[in-house]
Amino acid sequence: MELLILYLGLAFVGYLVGNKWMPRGKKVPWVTRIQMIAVVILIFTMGARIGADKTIAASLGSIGWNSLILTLFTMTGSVLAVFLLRNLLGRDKRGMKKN
Amino acid sequence: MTRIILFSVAAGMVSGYAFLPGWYIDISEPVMIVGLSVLLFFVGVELGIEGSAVTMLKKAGFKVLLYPVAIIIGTLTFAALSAIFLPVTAREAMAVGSGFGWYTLAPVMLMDYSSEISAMSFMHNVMREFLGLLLIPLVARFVGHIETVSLPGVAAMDIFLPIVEKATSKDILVYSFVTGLVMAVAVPVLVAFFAGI
Repeated sequence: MELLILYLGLAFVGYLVGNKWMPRGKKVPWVTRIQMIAVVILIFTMGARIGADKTIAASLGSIGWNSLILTLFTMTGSVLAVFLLRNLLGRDKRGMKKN
Repeated sequence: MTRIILFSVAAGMVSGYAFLPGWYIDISEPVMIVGLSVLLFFVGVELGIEGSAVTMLKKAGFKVLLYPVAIIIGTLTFAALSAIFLPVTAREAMAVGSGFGWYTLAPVMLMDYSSEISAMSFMHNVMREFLGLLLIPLVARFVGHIETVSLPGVAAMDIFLPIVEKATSKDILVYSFVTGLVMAVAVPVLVAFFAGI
């Protein structure tokens, strides 16, 4: 819980910093670069933890199939939810108001 | 970007499996906390520089905001249902499903919960984005235009905008951006909630 507050708080402070003190609407390459470095370190560490766990490393194939099943379920659920809401709000297939 | 991520995870797995010293695994928790802090701070900075997030949300109106809410409910309900067929609990399936395609954040947050769930989260989120890419034109044609924005999840707010526009129309872009943004905010909250961290 404390970590979640830390992460969301930092994202919010980051938003304010970006919004008030940085040039609006311009690409700032070093911001993207720092994100990239953080992501590479995080993903490498995550991979290392998975690799170091020999039982997990051995069952990556079945974890992959399970992930695929879960992915197909969640994507079906998402499309279905939007389909129901869109019809409830009276929008046609193209997202326009029905006459 | 995707290539670098896949290379990083593969390099991490091989070194973790073969030669990485135990102390690196021991310090992985603080590494993760610092890394996530830096990442989320700069995700915020990037959104702030872009500056359109708040204006877009205000302009979009209440009804547009209902779509990401529906997508989150649909995703979590079906994630829980999938647990019937999988060797995980409904709660774990919902923790994995809460990644909404953000494969650089959700699996790292789940690393301390369990390596297996973390691995599943990484694969699920990569698949969600990849299948989203493949399915957007089909869903646009056979189901509906707004439905397309539900497929990739968080990436609907940035890298998928041109893909959604090409398969649908300019009118759908506001749905895509707002959906991705709301889901992005929901990822850390929901992942932490379902994993109990």
